[in-house]
Amino acid sequence: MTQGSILVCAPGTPSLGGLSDALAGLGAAVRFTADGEAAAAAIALEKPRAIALAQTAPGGTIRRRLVEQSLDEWMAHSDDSCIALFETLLAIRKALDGSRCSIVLIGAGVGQTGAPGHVALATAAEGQRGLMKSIARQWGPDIRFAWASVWTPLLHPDVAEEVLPEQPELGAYRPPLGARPGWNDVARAVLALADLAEVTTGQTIMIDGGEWMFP
Amino acid sequence: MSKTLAGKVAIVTGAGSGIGRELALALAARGARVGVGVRRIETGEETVSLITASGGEAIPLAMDVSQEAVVESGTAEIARRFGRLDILVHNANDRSTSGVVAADENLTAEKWRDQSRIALGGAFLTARAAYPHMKAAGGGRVFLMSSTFGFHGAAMNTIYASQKSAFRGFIKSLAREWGRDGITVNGICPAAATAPTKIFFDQNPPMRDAYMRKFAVGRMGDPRTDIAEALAVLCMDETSYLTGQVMFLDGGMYPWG
Repeated sequence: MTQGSILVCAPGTPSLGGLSDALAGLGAAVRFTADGEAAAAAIALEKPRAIALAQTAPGGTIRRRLVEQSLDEWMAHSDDSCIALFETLLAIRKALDGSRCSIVLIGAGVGQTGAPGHVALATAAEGQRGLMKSIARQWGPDIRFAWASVWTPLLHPDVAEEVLPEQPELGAYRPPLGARPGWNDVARAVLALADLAEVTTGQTIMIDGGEWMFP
Repeated sequence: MSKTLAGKVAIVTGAGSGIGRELALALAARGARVGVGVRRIETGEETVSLITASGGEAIPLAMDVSQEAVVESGTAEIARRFGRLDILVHNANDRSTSGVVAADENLTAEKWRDQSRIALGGAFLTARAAYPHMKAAGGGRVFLMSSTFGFHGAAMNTIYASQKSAFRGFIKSLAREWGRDGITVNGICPAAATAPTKIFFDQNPPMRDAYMRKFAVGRMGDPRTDIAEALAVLCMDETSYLTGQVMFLDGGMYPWG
């Protein structure tokens, strides 16, 4: 298991408090911060071994069909998430000041699966994931990255994800591992990914109980 | 050339040069009538001249895809003049910013937003403007020109790679949103020997040689025969079951999936 402290940074994403609690429950030394500035200050006090980070646009999420959105709404809920994450990561990098660290980004699964009503959120998630890959190429070997996709309503409780329609003849849909993962499952994955970052960077895994099995 | 797209109407943005122009030519060669979307009208007129000289039909369309009113009116104009809209290819790209190589610490939110106006803003505006016309036509094809950069990331080109990656989320969700209207939404990642690429590689032979070794077919694609012709095929009625995909037209450079 990862040694050293873990910083959970959740700008605009209070649900990540669940991850912080779950990590603490697993015995990790955890510090929770709600924004990038607080994260940078915390890093200056104590260089964490790993950072779990989810960034939501300042405007929050929106569940609305594309044709019902204005251009301003669209940019605020898609592009601004990427810009905000980029700025948070720059602040974290500066605070790390050359220290070695694994950063596990937590993202909405709709980025990879798509969902009606969630074009902006999915665009933001995939934009952030592409951002992660580009900076992973530039910030290694000291700073390594991984991306964990989670069930979207776990990360954003205010949105309901469209799921596969239930088939009465088969019963309600259940992932191969029996249920959609909760924060305890994600916490274990974060610890594993932080360790995995010793040997790789820029990788993605879906924490979804085996529902999608991408690629 | 078989007129497999006869009766169809298309809009191609960024069609004043390069792959965009080739896309417009390829669609027109198969019988589609084409709105040639450009920022500088003279480049659109050149593309239209090439199409009409080959017996096709096209209209130049001054359409800065970052401008909401222009996109709305331009799209409506093509639908009115040609009676319908079936195909949208969002190919427009701001070369003045997308090709800029810069370290992350030299990037700013302002630079990011400048680059987003055409990429993400343009994708949103052109798709939203096309939707009612495609729905009225009983379906349609929407294509976004993405990039392999969006899949593998790109050092020193963070904004461009992020935005091309963002297209994937856009494509997958919009495909689910519009599928029941008969509208498919897909993306293309081309690896083609465009004029700027040729110039860059002529100036950097070692990089060119290393890059060329990645192509399974042993060559970099031709914008016309390898990219535009393939996309024209994907616009046919027979592809109505293909949606939510981001496809690589890259000569086997990245055999993912």
